[in-house]
Amino acid sequence: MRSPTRIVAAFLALAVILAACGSDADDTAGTDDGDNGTDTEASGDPVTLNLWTFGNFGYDELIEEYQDDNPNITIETLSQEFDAHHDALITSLAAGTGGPDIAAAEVAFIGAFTNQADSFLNLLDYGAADIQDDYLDWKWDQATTLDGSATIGLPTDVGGMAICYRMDLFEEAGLPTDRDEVSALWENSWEDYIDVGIQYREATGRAFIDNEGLLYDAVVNQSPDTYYNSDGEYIFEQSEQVAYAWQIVTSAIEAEIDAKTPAWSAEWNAGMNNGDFAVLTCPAWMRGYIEDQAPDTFGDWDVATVPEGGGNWGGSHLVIPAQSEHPQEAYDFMAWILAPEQQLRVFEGTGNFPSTPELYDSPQMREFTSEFLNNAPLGEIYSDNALDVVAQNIGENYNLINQEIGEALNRVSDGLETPDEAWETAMANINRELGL
Amino acid sequence: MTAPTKVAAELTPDGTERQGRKSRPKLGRGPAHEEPWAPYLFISPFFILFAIFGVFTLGYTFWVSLHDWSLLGGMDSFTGIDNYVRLLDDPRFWKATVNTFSILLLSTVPQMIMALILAEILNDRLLKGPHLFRSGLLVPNITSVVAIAIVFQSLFARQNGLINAIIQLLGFEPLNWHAGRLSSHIAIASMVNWQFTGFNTLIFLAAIQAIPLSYYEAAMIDGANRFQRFTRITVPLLRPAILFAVVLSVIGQLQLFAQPLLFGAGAGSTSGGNDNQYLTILLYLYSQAFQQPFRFGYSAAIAWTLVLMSALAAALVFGVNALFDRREDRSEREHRKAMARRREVAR
Repeated sequence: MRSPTRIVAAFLALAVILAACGSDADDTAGTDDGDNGTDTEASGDPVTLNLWTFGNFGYDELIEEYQDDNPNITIETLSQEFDAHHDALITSLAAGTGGPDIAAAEVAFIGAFTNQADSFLNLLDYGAADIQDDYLDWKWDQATTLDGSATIGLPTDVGGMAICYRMDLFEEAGLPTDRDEVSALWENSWEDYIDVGIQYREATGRAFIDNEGLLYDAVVNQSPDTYYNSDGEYIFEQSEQVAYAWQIVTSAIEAEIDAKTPAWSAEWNAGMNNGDFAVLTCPAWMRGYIEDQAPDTFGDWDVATVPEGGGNWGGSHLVIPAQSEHPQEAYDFMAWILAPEQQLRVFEGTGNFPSTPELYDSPQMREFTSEFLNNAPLGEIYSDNALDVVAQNIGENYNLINQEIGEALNRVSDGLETPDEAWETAMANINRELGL
Repeated sequence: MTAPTKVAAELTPDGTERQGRKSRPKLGRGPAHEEPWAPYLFISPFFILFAIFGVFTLGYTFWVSLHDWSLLGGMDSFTGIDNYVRLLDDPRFWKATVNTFSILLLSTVPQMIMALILAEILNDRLLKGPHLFRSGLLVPNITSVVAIAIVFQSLFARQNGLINAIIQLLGFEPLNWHAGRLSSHIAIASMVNWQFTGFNTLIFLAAIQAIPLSYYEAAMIDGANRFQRFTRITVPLLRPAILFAVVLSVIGQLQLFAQPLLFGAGAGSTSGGNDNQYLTILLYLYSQAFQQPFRFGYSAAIAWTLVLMSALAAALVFGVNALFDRREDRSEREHRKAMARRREVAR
C-alpha cells in the first residue's frame, strides 16, 4: 500500500534521474539539429534512441538489423504491460522530461494524444505526407488532428474484427459448423446474431456470448458517428449507432445468452476452455490470446465474419514525444520499421495485422492460415474487414464515455438497473465527468 | 522479543531528547566546540530525504490542487479552492469515502479481535512448535498483494468460484460478490484480513510476552480463570500495542488501492465496480489523474482531503484511547480511596 504522496515522489525521483541521464545526450545532440538522417550517419555521431512499447510488438529482430545497417544508432527498448506503459508515458509527457524518443500509443489513448498534439512531434514536418498512402486512411486519421495540420503517429498494426466460434459446441447445438455457412447466419444484422444465440441456448442450455461489453464495442465501432462527430462535438447522446448498439446488447441480455464473464478475468479465460460461451469477438491479435489461455481447444475454433461489415478493436501507433532529443533519427527509424516490408515480417512473427493495405493482396497474406483456428484463412478475413472500416473521430475522452456505457450495460446484466435507468445514469455520469 | 510498539512510539521524542542532553555539556571552548553539530549531521539524511519526498511533495500537491491542471495539457489556470468545492458536490467521491470507511471497519475490527485471540493462543506454553506457527503467521504478510488479490478474485468469482461452490453445496443461491456493495466490501476486507492478521498477532504476542508473569500468578491465586485473565489483565495491558496496531491499520486502510483494483476483474477496473460498489478514495484519485479526463489538479485535491481524513481518523483513535485512559485513572483513584478507607476502618 503506497500513499499518494509517495507515488508522486517516486515519479518525481524517476523524472529527476531520467532528466539527469537525458542531459548527457543533450550536448551531443546540439550539433546534430538541422542535419538530416543520412548526414548524421555519415558523420557517425553515436545516437541512442529509447523505444517504449507494451506487450509484444515483435521488433527485436528488426531492431538488430537496423542497428547493423546504421552503426551509429543504438536502440534501447523497454516493453511493459499495457497500463504501466501508458501510465509511464503520460507521466513523462506531464513532466516534460524523462520520456522516450519513440513510444507506442494504443488506440484507446491516441485520441487523447492527438488532442494534445503539442506534446508530440508533428510528423508532417518530417515528410510523413509522402508515406501517407502506404497506410489505411482511417488508421492514419486516428493520429491526425481534425484540421489536418498535424499527424502525431505512424500506424503499427490494426485489430480488425471477426467472430471466433467453437465448432464443437455449434455442432452439439445443431448449428452449421462451416465458416461460410456460419457467416451467412448473421451476415445481415446483429439481430440475426442474437437469434442464433437464442437457438444455441435453447438447444444446449448454455450461454452464447462471453460478455455484454465486447459485443457493445464490436457493434458501436462500425459507424463513423459514435461519441464525437467529425467536427469534434459530442454526439453520444443522440448518436444512432450508440442507440443501436445499446439496443442490441440489452436485447442480448434479455435473451439470456450472456455468460457474464468479464473480459480479461480469470473466469473469462476459464470460459474459453470449458465452453461457457460459444463465440468470441475476435480481432487479429486475439488468436495469440486464445492459444495462450486455452491451448486444449486446438482445432475447436474457427473464424467467421462479423455481422454488418467492418470493425476494429485495438491496434497502435508509434509517436515521438516533443521532448525527444533526436527527432530526425527517431523519425527515420520509425518510418523504416513501419514500412510495409517490415510490417509483413512482424505479421509473420507475431500475427499483429499490418496497417498497410498494399500487403493485403500479397500472396503471403492471402495464403496465411492458422492451424489453431482450424486453418481459417485469417489473412483474407482480416484484410477484407480492415478495408471495410470507416474513419471515426475517436476524440479526446473516448475511453471515459465508452467505459461509462460499458458499466451501465454491466449493471443491466447484473440486474441492478433496468435498461432505461442504466442509460439515464450513464448519461448523467458522463455529463458530470466531462463537466458538460 | 521486546515490545516493538514502545520502540516505535518513542523513537522520535527519544531521539530529540538525546541530542538535547548531548549538546548541553559545553564547558570549555576547546575541541568540543564543533561537536554540537555532529548529532544533527547524523540524523540529517532522514530529514533531507523527508524534506524532498515528504514536505516538498505535500506542498507541491497542495499547489497543484489549487489549479485547473490536466496531466497531459499541463497547468491551465489558478482556480483557488474550486477543486475542493467540486469535491464536496461529487457523488462519486462520497460514495468512495463511504466505501473506504466501510471496508476499514470490516477489516480492522475482525482483524484486531482475531489477532488478539491468536496471540493469546501462541503464547500458551503448552503449544508445540511455537516458532513454526509464528513464522507461518508472517507468510501472508510477505506475500505479494497482487498474488493475494488474484487468488481471492477467483475464490469470489461468480461462476467458478470456490466460495460460491460451497454456498451452492449448502443449498443456497450463489452470490454475485461484485454486484452487491456489502458483499464486495466483505470480499475485499477478507483479503486485507488475511494479509495483515498475522502481522498484528506478532505485535500483540511481543507485547504479551512483556507482561510480568507475576500479574497472572496473582490473578490465579485470586481464582481468576483463563478468560478472566485474558480480559482483565492481557487486554488492558496491551492497550498501547492495540492503539499502535489500530492507527497503523486505519492509515493503511484509508489508502486501500491494490485490492479493489485487482478485485475488479478485467479492463476498466479502476471504476471499482459497475456501480462504484467498491471504489475507494485512492482508486478514485488514481482514475481521475491517470485516466481520462486526466484531471491532475482535482486528484491532488482528493489527495489532500485524504491526508486530512487520515489525520482526523488518527486523532479519533487517540481520542478514544484518551477516554480509556481517563476512565482507568478514575477507577484507579477510586480503588486507592477504597483501599485507604478499608485500612482506616481496619485501624
